[in-house]
Amino acid sequence: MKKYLKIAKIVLKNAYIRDSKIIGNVTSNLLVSLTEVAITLTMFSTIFKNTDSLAGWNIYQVVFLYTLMKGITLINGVYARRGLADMAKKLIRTGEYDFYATKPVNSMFLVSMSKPKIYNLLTLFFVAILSVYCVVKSGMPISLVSIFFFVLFLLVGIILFYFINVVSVIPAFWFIRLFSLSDVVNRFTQLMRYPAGIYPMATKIVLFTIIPVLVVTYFPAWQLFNAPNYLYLLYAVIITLIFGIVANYLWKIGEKHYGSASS
Amino acid sequence: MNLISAKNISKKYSKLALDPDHIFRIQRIEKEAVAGFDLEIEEGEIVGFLGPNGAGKTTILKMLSGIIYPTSGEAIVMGQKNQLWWDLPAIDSFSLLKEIYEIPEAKYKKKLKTLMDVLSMHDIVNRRLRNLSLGERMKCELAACLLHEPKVLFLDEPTIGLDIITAQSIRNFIKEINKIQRCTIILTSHYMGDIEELCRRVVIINHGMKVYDGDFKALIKKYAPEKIVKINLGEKKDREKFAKIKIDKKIEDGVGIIKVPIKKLSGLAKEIFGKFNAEHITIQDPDTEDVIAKIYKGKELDIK
Repeated sequence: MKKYLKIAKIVLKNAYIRDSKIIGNVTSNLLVSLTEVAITLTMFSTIFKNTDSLAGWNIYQVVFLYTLMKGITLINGVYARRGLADMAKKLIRTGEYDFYATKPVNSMFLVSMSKPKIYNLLTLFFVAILSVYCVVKSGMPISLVSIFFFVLFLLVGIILFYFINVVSVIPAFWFIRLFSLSDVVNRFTQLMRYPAGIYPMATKIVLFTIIPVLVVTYFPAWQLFNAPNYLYLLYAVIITLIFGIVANYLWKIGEKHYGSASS
Repeated sequence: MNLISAKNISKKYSKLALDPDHIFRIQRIEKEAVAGFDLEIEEGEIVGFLGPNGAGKTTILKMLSGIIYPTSGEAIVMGQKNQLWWDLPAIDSFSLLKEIYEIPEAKYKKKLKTLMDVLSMHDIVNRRLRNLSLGERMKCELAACLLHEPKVLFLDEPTIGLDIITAQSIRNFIKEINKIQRCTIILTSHYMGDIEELCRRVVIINHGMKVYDGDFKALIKKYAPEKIVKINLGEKKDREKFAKIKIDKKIEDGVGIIKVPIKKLSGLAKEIFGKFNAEHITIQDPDTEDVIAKIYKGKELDIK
């Protein structure tokens, strides 16, 4: 564990050194992200001019749910998203996966950590401020116990979201270049910003089990505004463990199918 | 002690494709890249892998290094292959490798200094890799490979694209490291200069099979049992004398060339030294690359 933390530290440090040389790129990225947040807020504002609530959630609760989705995808982007996208797009096709296959470190970890986007933290800062504002304005009573459970759900959600992303790129081992599945998962990410109650039952089942993106955001948000639900927490932990085991297992099988590329 | 032991390893690549004759039928196309390959290499050996393009050298190398899994058979190897990160200065990649291989700080610093001294790379380690020349990158790659003192080093075309001086310095470095660390080295190269200078033992691979495994000089001797005699024919009387020699010969750019079997060399030498000025005569071995080309072109590689 200590070794992995040290590697993560060096990788993030290297990413900081790299990104500090491309300030223009960092600034434009921040502007694009904040513009996206602003457009989404405008959309929610328009929706709530026509209704008082979405499945019983007021505008501040829904925007809080959106900030959770945005925050978790940003955190995932800090350490994993680009590395995993590379896996789907080029590591297998070009044979660059050789580098990761031969290191005495878990290759799934090393691939995920290979392209950190540390400047996501800047957007995350603004999103965090917005989420605190929404919680305060929601008018819901929040207890310390709820906050504690919310943090637990959030940590489990971040891990689960990472494993969902890993599973979506593993087919690249067989199909050489496969970004479409990973792209489908990104589309499902958009569904993380709405309360579960708005979806029909069949969709809800899919979003809580097969592609459990609602476990990632809806559970933590629900937990913050309600009394602790141990069954929800148990379910979140179990499904995260299942996805973790499946991701590791499929990755190992995929590695055996890796054919590299010619020199 | 055998550091590498491969037993009957094979690699088949298969893919699904539409049958051109039946458009709704999917067929599985299989290609055997390596078939029943055995290899044993001892600690400290430098072994060259030779073979034409597409022979399966790199596939075998990648199976031995653990990058790809053999379809059948087993390969036991101690060692790894490295690669640097493109967007970072080499020194940052080195510090990452230090953590990956858990190299103690003092040992890392000492090793890095030694490598930078031997490879003369003090002024390049702090520049981003993408801004370095190919030769400079190759030096950094080699240093990265050796930071953790691997027992086995796999080098796939280590001098490809390098100028003569850089290629020579890389070869010198490989020899030096082999001597200092007793590091086992397996290399593939199309440059005979690399093989001649570094490898006593070579393995020739063709169509994914081992066709020769043994001493490099013995191989050359077997496939080039002749010497080349060259005579500078600057004057007309020399050209007339050369025409009278009763053996297969040719003239290229004013130089008379005779390929003579080693058994007949002393007889021929007596004759030509009697007829021509000794300063105009040279006797040499055939070019190694020509010999290897002859082996590759041969339909039957019965040289086991």
